[in-house]
Amino acid sequence: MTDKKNDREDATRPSVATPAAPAAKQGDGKRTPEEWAPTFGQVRPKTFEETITMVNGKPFDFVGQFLWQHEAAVVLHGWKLHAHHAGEPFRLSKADYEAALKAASETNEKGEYTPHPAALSPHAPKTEPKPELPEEEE
Amino acid sequence: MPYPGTVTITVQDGGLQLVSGGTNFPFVIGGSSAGTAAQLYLGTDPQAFKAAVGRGPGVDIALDCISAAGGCFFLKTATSVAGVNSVLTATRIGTSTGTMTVSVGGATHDFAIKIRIKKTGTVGVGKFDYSLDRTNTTADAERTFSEEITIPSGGTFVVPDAGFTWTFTPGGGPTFFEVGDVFTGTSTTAHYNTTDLGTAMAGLFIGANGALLTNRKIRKVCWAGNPATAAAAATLAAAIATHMGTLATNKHFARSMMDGGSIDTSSNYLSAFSAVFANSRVADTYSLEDAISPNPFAGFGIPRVSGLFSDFGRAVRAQISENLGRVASGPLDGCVAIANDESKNTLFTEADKTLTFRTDPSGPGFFITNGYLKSSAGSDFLYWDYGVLLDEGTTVVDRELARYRLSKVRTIKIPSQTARPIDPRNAAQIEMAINSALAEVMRGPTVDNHPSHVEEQVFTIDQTNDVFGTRIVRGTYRAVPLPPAENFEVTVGLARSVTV
Repeated sequence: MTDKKNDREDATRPSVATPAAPAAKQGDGKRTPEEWAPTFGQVRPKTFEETITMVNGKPFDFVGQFLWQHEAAVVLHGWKLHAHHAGEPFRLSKADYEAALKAASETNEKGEYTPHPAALSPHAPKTEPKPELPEEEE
Repeated sequence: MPYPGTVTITVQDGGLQLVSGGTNFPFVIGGSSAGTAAQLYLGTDPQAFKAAVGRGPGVDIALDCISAAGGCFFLKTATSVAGVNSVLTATRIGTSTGTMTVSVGGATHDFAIKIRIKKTGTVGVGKFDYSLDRTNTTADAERTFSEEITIPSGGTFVVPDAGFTWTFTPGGGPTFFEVGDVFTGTSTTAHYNTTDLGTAMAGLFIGANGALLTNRKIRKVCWAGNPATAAAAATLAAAIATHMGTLATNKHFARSMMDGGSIDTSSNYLSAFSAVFANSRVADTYSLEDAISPNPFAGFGIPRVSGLFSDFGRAVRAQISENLGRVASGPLDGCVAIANDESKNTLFTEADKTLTFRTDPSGPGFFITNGYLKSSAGSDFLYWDYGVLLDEGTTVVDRELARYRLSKVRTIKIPSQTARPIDPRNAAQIEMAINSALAEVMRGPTVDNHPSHVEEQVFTIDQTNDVFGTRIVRGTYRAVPLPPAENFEVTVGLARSVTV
């Protein structure tokens, strides 16, 4: 493998206590999800026992910077895809971020997570209703 | 002091602190019909384990793990996604008037229900049998049917071990239930959501749960069950990835498997799961199989389940350097049928890194197409075994280095510098201890008869870091895994002579 993307991600992992995110634009009260995360206790606390094991000179173990509600909301609302396609991070209000966390924590009677509309990126994946199951291969 | 002088030899054991088979049991998370949510169970006796946690897809996986590894941890979750029972649809041979209904919820597994009327009559007279396994398009001869049962006079039949009740209503007659009539439907079992998982994981390391994990390491984790859709699976996967990080920060260096939404379409899987989720600690499967249940009951012997059952079963049985798709390891035990054969109907590409099933020209049975981890593009952690291998090495490094915590180390003076790095002789001592332990844990023979599970490996101490100033001894562990022979390119032809 020549592309060390995984290692790069690890190497650039910011301090778990101080998430790195673009500064909030002034005026509209909106921030990126990463900027809102500390407000809602969504940053993973650094434990005393946490050690760094090095592989190829880089920390190999990327344990993640945020807690599960934040990460689930990222996927549910397409925020990572938004950053990829729009070239800038998704921005939302404090109330919408909080509602997005709640949306990623609850399922409807079908077992589906319903995104909070105001937090949903236009780049979030779209799916179609599922048909009958395929038949088996004997 | 001995007299006359002699040489006293003491043979020590346990210095390597090798992990025995009992200390790193597989770990399964899921719902079940009995037990307490957020409680960790250690199952070693199948009967006692079943009595404690009841039934469910995760219980079946755990029972398979007990069979394979001698034990299994099971973390029971709450199940906020309620199970659903469909209506029971009648296909009549004539003009019968009987109908059937099913009680709400409670199914212990996902079921394909087929009830056959075997003797004409009303309640208390007619007879029926039923199957809950495989699919409703599977030939009856391939399914597991109960014995014939008289329709209860009261019309209510509690289906043993299934978690629900059927009600027979005769209708106006004159023919009520007629031999040849068939009632079909489906049931899904309850499932956990992200909050249920979060609650269960939050209690994993405290109280009785934490005590159960003392001196034990979690290596292989299975998030049991079928998410409702691929999109739901992706949301769940994002949460699962953070829980795997939590395990790592608690010194449980592990890899895990989940279902990526196998009951959804492959196109939805690609757009809503594969395109949005990647993590080197998580493998996902898009596969359904008919697998022999380790916990069968009347009408339920070969259920249709997520391929997670066989995927994880193979992962638990595999060596640390063994690719899960290794053909020479044989076909998947107990797998009777698969929903999609990736070799004949290829749904994905290598870049999707999805666990699927295939047939193989080498012989009968079904195999895992390739043992991928759902890592990001370009990641070193392409395969499940690469991850497991490094987890094993990491655990050794972590454990051995811990012995030196707060030990004094010697440093050396560098001319014209204030920094004092570790003394090379001291560094060599630590390196030797750790490399010895690494060599032991990676020692073969492997299933392919190689002497080690790695091509090469080395742990080295950074001899430039100012240990005196930082009080940090920095080390590097590098391992070269054994690559799998995925493809072969052979040229064949006829010739007048061949040179050997």
